[in-house]
Parts: sequence; C-alpha cells; structure tokens
Amino acid sequence: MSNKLKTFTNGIIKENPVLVLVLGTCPAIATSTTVLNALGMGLAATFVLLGSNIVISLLRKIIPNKVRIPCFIVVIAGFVSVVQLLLQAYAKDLYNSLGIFLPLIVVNCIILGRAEMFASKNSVLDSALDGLGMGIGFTLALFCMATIREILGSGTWCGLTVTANLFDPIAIMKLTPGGFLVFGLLIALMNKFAKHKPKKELDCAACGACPGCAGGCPSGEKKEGGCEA
Amino acid sequence: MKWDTLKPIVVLTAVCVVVSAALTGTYKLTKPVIDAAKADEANAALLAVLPEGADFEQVTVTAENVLSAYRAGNGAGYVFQAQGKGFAGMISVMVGISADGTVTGTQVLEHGETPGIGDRIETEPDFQQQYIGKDFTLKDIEFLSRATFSSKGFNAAVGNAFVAYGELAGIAIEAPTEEKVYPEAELIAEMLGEGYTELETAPEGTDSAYQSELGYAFNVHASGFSGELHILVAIDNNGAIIASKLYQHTETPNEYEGVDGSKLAKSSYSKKWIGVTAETPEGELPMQAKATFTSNGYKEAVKLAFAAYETVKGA
Repeated sequence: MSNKLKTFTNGIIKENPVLVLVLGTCPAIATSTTVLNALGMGLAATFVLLGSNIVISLLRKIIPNKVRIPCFIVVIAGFVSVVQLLLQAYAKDLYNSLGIFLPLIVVNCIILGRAEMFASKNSVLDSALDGLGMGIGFTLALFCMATIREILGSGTWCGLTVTANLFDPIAIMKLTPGGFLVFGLLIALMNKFAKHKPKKELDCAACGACPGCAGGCPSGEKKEGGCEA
Repeated sequence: MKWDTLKPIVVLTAVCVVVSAALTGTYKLTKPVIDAAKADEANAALLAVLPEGADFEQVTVTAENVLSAYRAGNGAGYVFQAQGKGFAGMISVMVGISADGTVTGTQVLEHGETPGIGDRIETEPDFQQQYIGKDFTLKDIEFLSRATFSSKGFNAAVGNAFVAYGELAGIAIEAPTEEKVYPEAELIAEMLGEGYTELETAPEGTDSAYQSELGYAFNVHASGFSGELHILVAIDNNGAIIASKLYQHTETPNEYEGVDGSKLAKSSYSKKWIGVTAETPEGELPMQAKATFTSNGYKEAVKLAFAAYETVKGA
C-alpha cells in the first residue's frame, strides 16, 4: 500500500512537474497571475491528466508502439475539448479568464510526458494515482506562484483585498518577468527543501523534459534504474 | 496484409472514432446551455442601449449602412447596428431608438480611429451622452474639437439608424448626405475668369461644375493616401486642361521617407497638368515621386472631370 502512496505523492514534491521536472512552464507562468486563475487552470489540467492517464493505461496493451504518440494526442485532445465545452457551458467566467490557455492544455508537456512515461507502462490504478498526484503537484506549484504574484502584484488574494490599501502593488509581478522571477526562486527553494542527491545517471522521468528524448532512452537500451546519459 | 501491418491503422482509427463520438456527445449536451448564454450576452448588449426593451427579435431593413436591426417585443422601440464613415474607415455603432423616435442610448462597437484623438467618441462620455433624447433631425450636436471626421462618422451612423427606424415605423427619413466640399469663388474665377456661372445640376461624378466662355471647371473628389482629395479641374472648349488645383486634402507628410502627398497641392505640380487631354497616354500623365497614392488619386479625379466634360460639352 505504501507503494501506491509513493506513486501518489511523487508528483507532489519529489517529482513536482513544474518545480522539479520543469514541465508545463508556459501555462504555469501565464495563469499564475491570480490565485483563482491558477486554481482553475490546475483543476482543468488535473482533470485532463487523470482522464488521459486512465484511458491510456486501459489501452496500453492494445495501442501498438508505432502509433502510440498519435493515439495519446488524440485522447488528450479529446479530453481537453470536452473540458472546454463543459467550462464554456457551466463555468463561463473561468472559461473566459483561462482564454487561450485552456486549449493549450493539449500541448502541456506534463500530460503527454506522463502518458508516455507512466500510463503506457503501468496499471490503471497506478496511472490514476500518478495522474492525480502530478495534477495536484501542478496545482500546488501554480497556487504558490499565484499567491506570491497576486499579493505582491495586485495587493489581493483570491480577489480579496489584502495589502492593496497599504502600499502600491509591484506591477511587474503581474507580468511575465515577475513570473519568471518567482518561478526561479521557487525552483531554488524546492531544490533546497527536497534535498536531491546529485545524480550521475539521468532518471528517465527527467529525460522526458528534454525535447530530444521524447520519452525514449537515447541509447536505445532500457536500463533498470534509468538511462545512461 | 499481415495483421501486424494492419493493427496500427485499425487501432489509431478506432481511437479517433471513439474520441470523436465522445466529443460529439459532449457538444450536443452542452450546445443548448452555451447558446442560451450567448443569447443572454447579446441581449445584454441590446439592453445597454435600450434599457426599457425586452423580447428582442431580429428584423430586416433595407436602409444602407445598417448591419442589423432588432425590435423590442414589448414595444419599447428598436436597436440598430449602424455604421458611418469616420477618419479611418467605418465606425460601427449600436443605436437604441424609442418607439416615438428619440435616441435612448448609443455604444461604439468598432472603430479604427486614432487613439487619443478620434477614439474620444468612445472615451469621452459627454459626446455620446448628448445624443440621448435627440430625434432624427440631430440638431445641436456638438462635434469633438480636433476630431471632426470621427464625430461626423458617428453622427452619420446615428443618422443611418434613424433611416432604418423610419422604415420600420413607416415614416420617411432621408439618409444623411455626405457633406460636399466646394472650392472658393476666387479659385474658380482664377481658372475661368470673373464671369463664370455654376451649372444647375452637377454632372455625374462631380460635386459641382462651373462654366464660362473659357471652358468648364469641375469640382471632383477621389481617394488619396489618407482621406479624400478635392480637386478643381478646368478644361477648355477643346478638351485640354487649362488649370487644376488640389484645394482640400488630409494628406500627411511622412517625415522619414520624404513622402508628402500635400506637395500635389503646389502650383509646381498643378502646372504639369496643363495641356493634358483625355487622349493623353497613361505613361505621360504627371506623377509625383514618393507620392504615388496621392498622384493616383489625382489621376482618378481628372478622369472623372474628363468624363463629366464629355457629358456637358456642346450642350
């Protein structure tokens, strides 16, 4: 049972997709201007991640290796389109504030990355836990970024005035440069907090972050612990 | 074909079909909700200009420059989406008109006017506020200083909305006419001599025409680079140009490129046209270097003058 728990918590701290794997940076910086936006984005992405992980895990024995990427993408795009329609119908305000970043969840590296790295090789339950964990990790990272950026940049938190009346907000925090600043600081904090041992071997999960890798081991060999660099 | 070769194709196709089916299902489920929300938004836009209205239904009108028309089912009046020519293209305005023919509200929908200058029709609330309560005569409307064309465009849009209102309410309302521009008497006298007369009806393609024993002068306009060019072209009784003058325009000099359409207003350019007839080949017509659009506009205007000349000569 602790194994399942490990799978779940993996995505929250040890392999947080945004702060450790450094995936999904674009939506992370773009939607973390306010806490409500960040939570909305996090929830939408988690839903897609959970759904696509489950479906791809269910189909993992049927999908041939040759067409696995197109199949994954079709499934992911399908889920994102469904989420889009549901939000447009039942949560119009969130739909409007997410704007273009909602359909961009399709190309969010986290989702394709987990599908390729985990869901296609593990059981449905494990994949579901991984998806949920990664999604929660994504949401938490966004939440932390958004809290800092909203309080400093607008003087509010979740739309409620916090410091706006006390001092002038630092506008750059709402903009992209501020986003990068907070992002970098949080990664540094995470490195310190999670106390990673310097790895000589590249873990396959980190491999997914390199565009060249695309989830496969470059040398073509599959090793037990990870790929050799 | 072996199953190994076939399998990827079959599986990928199957995945696509299933996902498409799921997507279609969700779409059908959410469509009524999404459509209702869109209708509410559109309704809100109509209510913004006709606050007393309810139960809007779309109606068709033939009035020009009116893009859409709505009648309020509760008899409060009508809402029109009309447009008028501003400084930089059409200004699109939502106009609410009550059942008894007075403006209840206006809202600028789209425009390309210059920020800080022409867009004041939108940013200065007093400008639109003055329209409320006005009837189709639009008397005592104050245009914005330094934004005449933009104000005119907005005004024309409201005027066009009234034409549509007239159509639906059964009253005859005339479309706002484009204000014509006329040359000064001194300019005409310069070209035709003191004893000229104005022709009663302006020949087609011209805004006005004048005659003396020296020949004819035609007041024509054509599009230049940044607005209308108003040119007076004098043609003698043999069909050759005796004089021409670009007497009103809004061409702006481009400091960096040296482009300056306003150079065509100078006599150095006007002189080049003397002696040109309708038969002068295209290549020999005077062009101004670095002012192509304006020169082309000038050529267009002269063509109109020659065409008008053909209709009046010998009459």
